[in-house]
Amino acid sequence: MPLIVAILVLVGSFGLLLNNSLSHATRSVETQSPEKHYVERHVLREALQAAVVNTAIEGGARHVQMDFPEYGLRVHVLSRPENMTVQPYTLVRLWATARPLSAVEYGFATNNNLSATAQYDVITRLMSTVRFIEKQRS
Amino acid sequence: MSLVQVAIALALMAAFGSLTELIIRNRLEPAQLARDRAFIGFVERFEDDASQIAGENAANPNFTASSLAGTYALAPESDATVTVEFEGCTDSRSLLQANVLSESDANALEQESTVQTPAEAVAVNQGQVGGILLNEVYAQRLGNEPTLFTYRLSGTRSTRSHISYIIGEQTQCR
Repeated sequence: MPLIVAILVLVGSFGLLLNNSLSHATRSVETQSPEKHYVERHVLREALQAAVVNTAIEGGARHVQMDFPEYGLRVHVLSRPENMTVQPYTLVRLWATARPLSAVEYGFATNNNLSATAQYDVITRLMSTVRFIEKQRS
Repeated sequence: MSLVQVAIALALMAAFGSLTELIIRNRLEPAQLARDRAFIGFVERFEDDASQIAGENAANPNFTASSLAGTYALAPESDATVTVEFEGCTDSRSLLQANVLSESDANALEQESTVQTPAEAVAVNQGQVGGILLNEVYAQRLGNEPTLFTYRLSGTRSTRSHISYIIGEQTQCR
């Protein structure tokens, strides 16, 4: 009789242990995704700010990238002139998007649907706010 | 002690142990989550405010970058604090590198960026595919020698510290 009780209690505790690790696994995934989304926004913003400063100092480059190893992300920043119908001269349009730094290593997985833009006016030295664009997938 | 008694004791300990851990985690995790979210919100608020202040003071010789450092409340009406340390200025050239993309990948990115030109889309009503559409406003005027103020934001337990780059003037880098 005591042996049966012992086996029953042990089997019950297995269920609890299993439930414990399962709930932890799902919670980890659930809690990480919003954080990753915000991290992606931050790195895009920071890369764009660096690119704008670089443009102001030395004219900038058409394609640059900035690595964020602590977040496992690499941000590609593209710039090109943009015509505005309301202005007689062109602006510098900067566009950035993030990609995982390494596809093999488990770390940060982007959805690859977030990009950010900013513009820089070379004449007035004004930079616009960084704006985020989420691509709608159908 | 018989083997049966040892087995019962073991089973009870395992049951209590896992149950206790589950209860503790259930209690603590929402609080930790809330702190993480608050920290993310703080980073965003700090960057917005610091960019605005640095932009407004671009021509002010008395403004210093280190004046933005200090201890801030994690959120309004929160007891938790975030420490902001000024870590000098970072040259943008040391952060950016040349792209190492293959030509096809670079072209794909170029293509993607071309269809997302919001300002032009507002002006001529075309060229926008997906995403949001807003009028873009200027926010910050860059000084004569722009550089990046570097701040380390660290605060709540378990969230890593975050480095913020704010556009500022080289002469205010102290």
